[in-house]
Amino acid sequence: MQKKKRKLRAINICPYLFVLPFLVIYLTFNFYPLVYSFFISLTSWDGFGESVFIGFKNYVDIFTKDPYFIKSIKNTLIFMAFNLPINIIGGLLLASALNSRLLKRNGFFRTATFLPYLTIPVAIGVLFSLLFDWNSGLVNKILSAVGLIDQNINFLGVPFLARMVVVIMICWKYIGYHMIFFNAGIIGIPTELYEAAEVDGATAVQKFFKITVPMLRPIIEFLLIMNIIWGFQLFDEPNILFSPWISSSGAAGVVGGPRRCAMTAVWNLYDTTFGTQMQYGKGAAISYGLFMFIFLFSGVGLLLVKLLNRNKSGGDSHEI
Amino acid sequence: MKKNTVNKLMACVLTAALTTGLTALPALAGESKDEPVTLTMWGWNAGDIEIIFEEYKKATGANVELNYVPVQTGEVFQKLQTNLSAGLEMPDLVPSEINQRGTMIGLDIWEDLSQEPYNFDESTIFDYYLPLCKNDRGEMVCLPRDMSTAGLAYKKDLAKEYLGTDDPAELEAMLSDWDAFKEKGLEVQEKSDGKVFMFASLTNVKQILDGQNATPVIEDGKLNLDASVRDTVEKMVDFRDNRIVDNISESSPSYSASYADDLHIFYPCAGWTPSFVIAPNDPEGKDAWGLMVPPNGCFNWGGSGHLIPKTAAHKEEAYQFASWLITKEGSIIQHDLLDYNQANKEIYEDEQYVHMENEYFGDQDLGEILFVKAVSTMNVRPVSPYDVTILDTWNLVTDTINNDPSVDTEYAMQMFEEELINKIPDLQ
Repeated sequence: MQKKKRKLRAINICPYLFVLPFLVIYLTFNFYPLVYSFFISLTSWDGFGESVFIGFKNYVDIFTKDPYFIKSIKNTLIFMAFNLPINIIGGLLLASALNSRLLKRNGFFRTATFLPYLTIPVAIGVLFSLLFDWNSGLVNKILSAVGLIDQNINFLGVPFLARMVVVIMICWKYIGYHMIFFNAGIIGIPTELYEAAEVDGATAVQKFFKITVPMLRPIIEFLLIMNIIWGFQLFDEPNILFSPWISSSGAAGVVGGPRRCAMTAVWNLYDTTFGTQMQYGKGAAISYGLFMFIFLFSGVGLLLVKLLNRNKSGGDSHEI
Repeated sequence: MKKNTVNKLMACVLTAALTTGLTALPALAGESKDEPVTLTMWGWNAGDIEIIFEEYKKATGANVELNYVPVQTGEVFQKLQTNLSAGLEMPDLVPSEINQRGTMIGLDIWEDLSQEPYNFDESTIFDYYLPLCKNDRGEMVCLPRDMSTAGLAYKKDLAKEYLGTDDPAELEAMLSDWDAFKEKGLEVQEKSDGKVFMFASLTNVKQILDGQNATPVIEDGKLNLDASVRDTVEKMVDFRDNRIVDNISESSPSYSASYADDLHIFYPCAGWTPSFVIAPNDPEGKDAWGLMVPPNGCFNWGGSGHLIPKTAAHKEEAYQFASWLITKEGSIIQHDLLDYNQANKEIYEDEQYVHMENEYFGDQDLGEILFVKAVSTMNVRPVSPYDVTILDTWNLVTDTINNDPSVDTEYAMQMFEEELINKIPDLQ
């Protein structure tokens, strides 16, 4: 008895008690829904009647029969192909420019570039739909006033242009957010490095590529991986841009924009589950399919980062 | 030791009994006959329904209270799904708008109101409403509310200038079918140097033409596009190519602004359009509008109704209220209080209730078209479980025809078919 008590006392219970609330919340609100949604993905269920177990049919269907799943992944990759480099390179350049000694009042500019990130997606959607409207949009009016166009451009009706408007919208919103990350990194770079480079006669461009970029490498890697994940989660902005927020007749709008060109993976998931199809089972399968893509692309991203790091450290040691 | 255990056991039993008794008390109190029944109702027009509910209580002496839960029209389906799958309590009354109704009432979760204990008398409402309230099993599960007949509104000054008259009867004679409408549209374009259009948006054309076609899009699991869709698509392409219709998206700010411009003549117009669409978009347009029967006749546009879930807690009380709304007494009260026009047939025998005026239409009697001519001539397409998918496909095809001048009828029809088969793979 005494031995047992002593043994119990030896195990410190406090850390377990501290972890317990998180563990309970995680198991209830994360782990259980994950397992349950996998179970749903193996059924045919509209959320109303009885669910019927159909095995992996939903998975086979989304990869072989359903044109929207692959199309939505393609659309998402197109957006990522533009958003990822523009946001990372743009954020880096912006942060460097805003930390330049040549720029006065950089606090104001820093706030101004970060403000779009604080704007709610609904307001951004409305703003961009007003700006790029075919008949009365400000962009068309400006282009027409300066004599660049004879006829208004249908920005939100032509698939390629509609995608570009989404890209502009995303970059406008998130470039300031990326800038904040790089800004924090730049502030942390010891000034002695720049001073030593100046003494050695390095130009501004040389300092940027030889000091700033290498020192910000961990941030670049983090943002690269996060951009892949965020990119696959894109939904709010294109959804609101092509939603009929002002319709007189309560029209439902076109799911996915013109010819579904802006239907992202999550929009497809939402529409399949809660929108025009109402198929919980298929929706759950899409979410797992999407998870596979996020896992795959994030894994490839991480691998690339590791390979680059290994090459870099190998190269460095060789030089040494 | 033994005594101690017995004491503990006794304490547990007493605590459990006390707790059970206390928690049961409110439930018992709720079942008391003097306590009012609280009806839970979802909907999107809280202010009006609360006024009407008070009148209902006064008129019938019903011992009920209202728990009104505001739910956006487009979110009713999702909320229903959530409630059902999570095992939450269902409301007593669920709103049903026409765009989702067919899909919604196709679910086997609603009370059949033509059966015991309700025995709703279908002959009290307009016949045109029946195909819009019955599901594919023939069960009357929806009680209609407002009138959903629609005509064609026009700007009087533009009609006079370009068509030579603003008199509705003369315009109806001039534009008796869609071919005549197109011919006049071409003349208007010529007279205005291509500036003035008959319609502002292709969605308007779709709304009217599709509303005039009663043939189901899907019949017995088979696509029936040639009879139900082709003619509408053909006219949409033709009207676009001949500039009878402008290229404005119906869900854009430009469309709303077009109500007040002098470039677009005609707009679809249901009973709710003058107050909810024309008044806010053309505030200066008092006595500037006219209403006529469109080429080929009136059509159905919109329409609200109520459904009662099988698992609702107060089905009888919910039915009493929803059915009172479309009784003669309820309809008169709503008309006098809020200018509501209900689907009850009997009140329209009284000239007073047929007559409908709106300051934007001068002294024209809109009821003559919407409540007399329309109900006797209108054919409506029965709602179907596929309606949500069909509407989404229509939106996509309309948007594509509007945005891409190279899209012809065949391409649009092929797109329609492919989209429907993609979303409903069981179709033949």
